[in-house]
Amino acid sequence: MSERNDLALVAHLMRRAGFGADKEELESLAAQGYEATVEELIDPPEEMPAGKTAVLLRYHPIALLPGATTNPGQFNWMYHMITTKRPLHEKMALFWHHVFATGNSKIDNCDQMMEQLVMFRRYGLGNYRDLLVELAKNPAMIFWLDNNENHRDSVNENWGRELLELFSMGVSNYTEVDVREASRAFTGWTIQPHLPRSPFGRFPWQFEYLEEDHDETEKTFLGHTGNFDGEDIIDIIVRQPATSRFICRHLYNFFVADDVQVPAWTIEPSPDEDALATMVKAFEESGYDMKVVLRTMFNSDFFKNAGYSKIKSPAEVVVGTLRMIGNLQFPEPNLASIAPETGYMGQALLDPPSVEGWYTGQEWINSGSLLARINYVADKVSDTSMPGIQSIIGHMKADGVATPEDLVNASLDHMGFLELGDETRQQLMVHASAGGNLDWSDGRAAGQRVGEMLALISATTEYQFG
Amino acid sequence: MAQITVAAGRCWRYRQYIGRSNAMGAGFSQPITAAAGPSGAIYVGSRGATPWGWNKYVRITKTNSDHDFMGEFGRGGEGSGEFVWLTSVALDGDENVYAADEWLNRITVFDSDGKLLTTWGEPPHTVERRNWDPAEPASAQTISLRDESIGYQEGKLNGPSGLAFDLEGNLLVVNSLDSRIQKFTKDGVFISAFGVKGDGPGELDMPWGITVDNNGDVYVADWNNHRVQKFSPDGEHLLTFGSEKRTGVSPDGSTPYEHVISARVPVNPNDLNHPTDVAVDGDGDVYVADWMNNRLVIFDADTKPISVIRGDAHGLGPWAERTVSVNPDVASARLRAKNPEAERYLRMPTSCVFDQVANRLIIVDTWRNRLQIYEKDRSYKDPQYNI
Repeated sequence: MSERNDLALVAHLMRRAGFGADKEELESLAAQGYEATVEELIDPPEEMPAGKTAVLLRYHPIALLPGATTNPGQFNWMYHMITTKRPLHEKMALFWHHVFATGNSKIDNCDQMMEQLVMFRRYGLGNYRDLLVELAKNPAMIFWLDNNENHRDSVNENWGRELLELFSMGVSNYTEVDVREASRAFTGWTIQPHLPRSPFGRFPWQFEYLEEDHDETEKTFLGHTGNFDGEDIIDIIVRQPATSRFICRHLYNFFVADDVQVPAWTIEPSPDEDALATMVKAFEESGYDMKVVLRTMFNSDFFKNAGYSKIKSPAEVVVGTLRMIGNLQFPEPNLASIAPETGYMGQALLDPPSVEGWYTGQEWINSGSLLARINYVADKVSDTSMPGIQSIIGHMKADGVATPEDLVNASLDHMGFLELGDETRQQLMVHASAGGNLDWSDGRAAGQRVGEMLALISATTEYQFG
Repeated sequence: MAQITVAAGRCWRYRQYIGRSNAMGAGFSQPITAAAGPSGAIYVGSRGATPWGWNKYVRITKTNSDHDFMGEFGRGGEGSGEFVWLTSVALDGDENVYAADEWLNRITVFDSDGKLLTTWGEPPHTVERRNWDPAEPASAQTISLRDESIGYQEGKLNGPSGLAFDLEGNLLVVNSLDSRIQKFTKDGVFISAFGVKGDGPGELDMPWGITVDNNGDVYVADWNNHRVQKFSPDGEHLLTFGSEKRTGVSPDGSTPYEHVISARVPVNPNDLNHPTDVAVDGDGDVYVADWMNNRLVIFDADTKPISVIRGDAHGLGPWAERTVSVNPDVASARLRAKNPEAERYLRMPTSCVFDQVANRLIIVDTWRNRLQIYEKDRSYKDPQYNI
C-alpha cells in the first residue's frame, strides 16, 4: 500500500493530466510510481484507444456526421473523454480547443469539428511547429477565420492576425505590418470546393493550395525578408521567444495554476515566473516538442505543489463526475443528455464564445454556474444506484468504515485523496457525527449516508478546484 | 471509377441507387437495415438519431426499384409499433415485416402495408446492480443493465441486432450483448440457441448481422472479432471469412474519417474492420459489409476474397433530384465541387442483402442515406486486355 501522500500526488496528476481516476486505479498507479505514470500518460501503449469509437458509432450513428447540429458532436467527444485510455491525449485536445478555439456556431458543420479533434489527438503532443502547420491547413480553422476569403489580390487578415495574437505570440509582439505580411503569405491556402450537404449528407472538407491565388512576392515579417509562404511564416513564429512564453504560459494556466486572463498577460507577470522559465527552456531546447515540456512540467516541484490552485473547467467537472460514477460506459440512448451539461456551466464544447476561447479560473464561477456545478456533481454522486458509487460503498463496507471520522476520511480518499482545510473538514465531521456510526446491517441507509457525504464533499472548494 | 466489379466468371453491374437524406417521406435517416420481398418491395429501416430524447426519425420505409415511395411505418417511442433503437428487418413468406429493437429488446411484426400485427420478446431478467450487500434485497437498487454483464438467459432478447428466417420459417435472432444466436418460431417461441462469447472458432463478440443460405447454413457478422463465421443449421462452426486481424479504430480515433474520398481503400480485402452484415447468393458467393473500411467485400464460398465494391452511385435519382431542384445553392455547389467522385463511395455500409428473386445485391449505405444496388451477371467473360 502506497503512502497517502503518494496517492494524493498521483490523484493530483490524474485530475490535471486526465479527468480523474478511482481509488483502485490510483493505488495501482501510485504503486508503479509517479514518473512512470507520467510516462504512460505521455506515451501510452499503442493499443490503448482514444475511446470506444466503434461502439459509439454502432449505437449512435448520428455521432459521426452531426452536420449542423453541435449536440451529437459534443456527446461524441465527451463519450471519448469518459472512455479513453489515453486521458492526456484527450486533455491536450481540450487544451488546444481552448487555445485554437473554433466554433460550430460559424462552421455549421460539426463533422469538421470532429475531424479537427482527431487532428488535435494526432498532433497535440507532437512538435508545436507541425501542429501549427496542420492547424493552418485545417478546413474548419480556414473557414472559421476566413482564410478561404484570403486572396492574392484581396487580402483577408483574420487568420494571419489570430495566428499571431492568439495562437502563438500574443499581442504587443508584432506590428500591423507583420499581420499584413503574414496574411499575404497564407493567400491561396483554402478549402477545396466540395459536394454540398444535400442530398447525401456532408462530404469531408479538404485543404487545397491554389498557387494561382498565392501572393508569391517578397514579404518582410518580423525582420525577415523573402518570398515567404505560410510554412516560412510559421518557421519564423516558432523561433520567437514570445511564442515559447505564450504557449508555455497557456500550458501553465491549463495544467498547473490559474493565471490572469490572456489579454492581461502583457501587463501582468506569470504567477510563477521561475516555473514558466523552466517550461520555456524545455520547450525551446527540445525544438518545441510538446512531450518534453509536458514531461518537464508534470515532474516539476511547482506542478506537484500546485494542488487546489486551479478551478476545474466545466468539462473537467462533468467528465470527471461521469467517470467517477461509472455509468455510460455503454452508450445508452440518453447519452445525448450529457452534451449540454458543460454549457450550463459556461463551457459549450465545440462552441466557444469567440476565437479567444473561454476565460478560465474564477471566470468559470458566477452565481448561476456555481450552483450548476455543485448541483450536478452532488446529484450524480449521491445516486447510490450508479456502479461507481456502489463500488465506493462496497469498498467502504469491506474496509470496515464505521465511525464518522472513518466516513469522512474514506469519502475524501475515494474522491481523489482530497486534502481539506480544517474548517471545511470540521463541517463535514459535524454532519457525519450527527448520524453516528455507520450501521452496515442496514446497507441501504449506510449507502445513503455515503452518498450524502460524497455530495457534501463535491461542494467543497477543494473538490471544485481539484 | 469502374461501374462493374469483376471476379472470375461473374461480375456485379451497378444498377441504381435509391435514397436521399430526409427526415420523413421519400428518403432515409441513417438507414441501417433492408429486406427485399418477392413483390419487389424493399423495406428500409432508418435508425434515425437519439440526441434529444426518443428517436425522432426512426421508421421503416417501403419502396421499390422504381423509386416509388410506398409508405412508412413505425416511429420513435416505447409504445406498440414504436422503436428506440431499430436494428434489423426480415420478411417471412407472407412478406410480413419483422423488426428488432436492440434497446427495448423486442420483435415487432407488421404486415406488408405497415399494419401492426404483434410484438414479442422479453428482455433479460432485471439484474441487480452489484449491490454492496448481497444479503440485502435489491428492490430499488435494481436496474436493467444494457451490457454484457447480464449473462445469457435462454429465450430472452439481449440487444437483438440481426434477424434472418431459416429454411423452415423460423426466425434467427442475433443477441449481440450475450453473443448468442437464438432460434424462435415466428410467434416468438424459443426453439434453440448456439454461440458463446469469445474469439475462438465458433465464438462470437458483439455479433451483428446474420443470413441463411440455400442449404440452411447460417452466416454471422462477428463484429468485434472482425470476421464472418459460417455455421451449420444446428450451430456447428464450419468456416471463417476474413483474416481476423484487429485493425480496429486507430488510437487517435481517425479511422472513421479515413478512406472517405478516395476510390481505393488501401486495406487488404481479407482484413475486415468491424463487419456489420453478411449476405449470400444462390451460387454461394458471400457479401460482407466491411463497415469501418467503407466497402463491401465479396468472398467465394471457400472464404477467398474475390472482389471489392467501393460504391458507384452517381447522378441524381428521382428523390435526390427533388432536393437539388428546389435549392439553387445546392445545385451550384454540385457544379463547383472538385471531388464529385466522392459521391460514389460507400460510407460505412451497415447492411447488405442479396435478393435472389430479382438477382440484385442491395447495400445499405448508411451515412449516405441511400441504397446502392448491383445485379449479378453470371455469364461474364473477361475480354482480352489488348482489345
